[in-house]
Amino acid sequence: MKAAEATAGRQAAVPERAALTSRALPATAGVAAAGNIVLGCAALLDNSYDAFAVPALAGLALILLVWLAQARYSRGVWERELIILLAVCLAAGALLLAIPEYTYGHQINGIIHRSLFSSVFLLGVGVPALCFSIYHLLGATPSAHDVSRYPLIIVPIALALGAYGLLLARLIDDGVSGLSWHALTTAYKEELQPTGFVYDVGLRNHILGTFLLMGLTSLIALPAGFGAGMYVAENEGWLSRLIAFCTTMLRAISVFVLGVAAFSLVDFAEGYAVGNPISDFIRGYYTDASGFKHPAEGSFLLAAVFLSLLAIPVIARATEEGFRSVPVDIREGSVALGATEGHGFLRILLPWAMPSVITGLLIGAAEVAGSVAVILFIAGSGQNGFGLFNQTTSLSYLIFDVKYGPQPVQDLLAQYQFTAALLLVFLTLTLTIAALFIKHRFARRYQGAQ
Amino acid sequence: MGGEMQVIGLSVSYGDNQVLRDIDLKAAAGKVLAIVGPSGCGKTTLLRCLNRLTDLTRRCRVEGAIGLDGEDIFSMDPVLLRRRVGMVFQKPNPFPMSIKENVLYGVKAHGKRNGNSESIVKSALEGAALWSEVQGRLNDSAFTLSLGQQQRLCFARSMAVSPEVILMDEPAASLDPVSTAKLESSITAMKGEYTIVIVTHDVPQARRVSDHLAFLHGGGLMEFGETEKLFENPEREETREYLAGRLLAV
Repeated sequence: MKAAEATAGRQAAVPERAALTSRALPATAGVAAAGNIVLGCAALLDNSYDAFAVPALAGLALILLVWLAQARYSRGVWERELIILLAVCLAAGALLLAIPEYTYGHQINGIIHRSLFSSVFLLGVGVPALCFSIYHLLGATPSAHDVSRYPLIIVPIALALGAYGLLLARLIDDGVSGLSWHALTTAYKEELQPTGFVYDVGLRNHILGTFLLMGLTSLIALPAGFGAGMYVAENEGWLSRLIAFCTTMLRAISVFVLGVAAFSLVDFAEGYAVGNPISDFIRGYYTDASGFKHPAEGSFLLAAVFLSLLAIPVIARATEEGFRSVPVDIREGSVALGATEGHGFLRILLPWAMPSVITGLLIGAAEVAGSVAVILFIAGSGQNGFGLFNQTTSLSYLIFDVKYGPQPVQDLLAQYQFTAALLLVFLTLTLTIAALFIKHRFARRYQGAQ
Repeated sequence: MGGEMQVIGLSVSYGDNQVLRDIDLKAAAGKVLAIVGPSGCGKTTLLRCLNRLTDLTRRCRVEGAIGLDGEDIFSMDPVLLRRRVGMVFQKPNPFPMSIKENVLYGVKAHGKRNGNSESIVKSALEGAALWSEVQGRLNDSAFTLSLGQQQRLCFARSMAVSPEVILMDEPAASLDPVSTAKLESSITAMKGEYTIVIVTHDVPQARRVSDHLAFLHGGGLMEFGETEKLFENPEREETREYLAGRLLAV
């Protein structure tokens, strides 16, 4: 009896020790893996961290080796995943030693520093190693398996958010300096005076241009997109399928092709004199100081028509989803009460679909605000006035203009390049947040507690 | 007084699948007709023919005649038909509006613009045994009600337009016993004023509420007659077996 108790006591003691060691090694490995991940991120930002890459990998490999040995000793098996991790770690380290500090040639148009490779390797080894360590730290149970996979999700998201954050910080840093009341309210103007050219420098027409383009495009795209989406959702048959096909194909047209098409229309309109409706609608015009009308190179109307080809598929798809999401039993309930289709549409279907439609509209508007390829060949700097028939311009075009536009624009508006970008980001962010807010708030009211 | 509905030689098929074969029955004015039978025997299809909801289903072919007070329903405007023949569905389907707006939906849809919407709402909700529970919160969303209350709201909604016939498709299927009892007592109270056709798989419920019973099996009408007669002295063996609660061979 006593001997049995003693054996039992000794056996109870052994699991204690095994538990300790089986926790210490995963913990150490986890810390080392985390260190590798952090180093990998740092190396993305600063080349000098590259020097620590091989030592970090070596350290991790060492810990993995110790763990492998301990597992063999205590459990008598070679842990297969540990072997794989160790092998990958060693291979990464060896590869890094083989890569020179600067890589060029090999048909690469540039010089690549080794830190690019080292951060990829560090992250590629560190994340799986961290997952593995967490799994064993938590006791190697099925639930631990799920929890241990979190780094696989968190690390990429953190990298992406970090990149966006850095970009935004840089944008704010460079763009805020250009934000001034003067810049926002002055329109860019070139005036030929007896003494030479005189310039007014400002973003007013560009800002107004962005808003006008968004508004005009919505005016055209909303009825068309809403009608298409609603028809496709509520009807079946060849016409419905045709419309669905056309709206999808619209999305497939390259924006650059749209821009070229717009320009070719302007080219066609050059055969007509200014004052002729064809020339006025397509090319636009401006009136100079002495009252003469001169043709421009592409009006806001023309730009809005082509931009609406971008926005229509977005609105149509959102509308279709909105209408399709109405439950069948609610539709039948309305029909069974002897309500006409029109009444059911106005009182039930439309309110239900409205959040989706508005969301689609705002997302489409955000896309329009940022698009430049469609207006690439027909836009200007807004120096000849602002209006429906004036030459189109927008904030997004300004960013392009500063690099590739005429010399006065390049020199004078260069200071506002990042400001324009910042304004655009702000505008798009506001529209997107508004869309989400509307979707959330009105969906609860009109779509019930489903 | 409720209207009378007559079904003569009704056959329904979805594509190649024949669901109902040559059904003849009658829903007497102001009485309750219960349609019972095992799952898949075509009860719901039969009910949906009575207010032409089958028009909404593609590939659904309906043959035969159905009359409402002697008028052929297939030559009527379906919208007008559904104003005279209302329906309560198996799963409660309140609209995403307030309780009051739900009850008045049909009334507004029919274009009747009389000023006493308050009294219409009150009498409809009283008829559905719901008034006392919601009278203080008519402007609350219908989704704040429990499932049993929602179903009674749907009942009130269909009564508010004063139809002649009310069709009910297993109305108590999703409900607890208390709500079921309240619904059944509403049905019994409505007799005379409306004709009610109720589909149910709950045989004791059919016995409690109905005056006439139609027993369907495999798409055909096995037996039709007064409820008590079918329970006490049915003509067919299958009727006796089913009403006694025993399973039937398919």
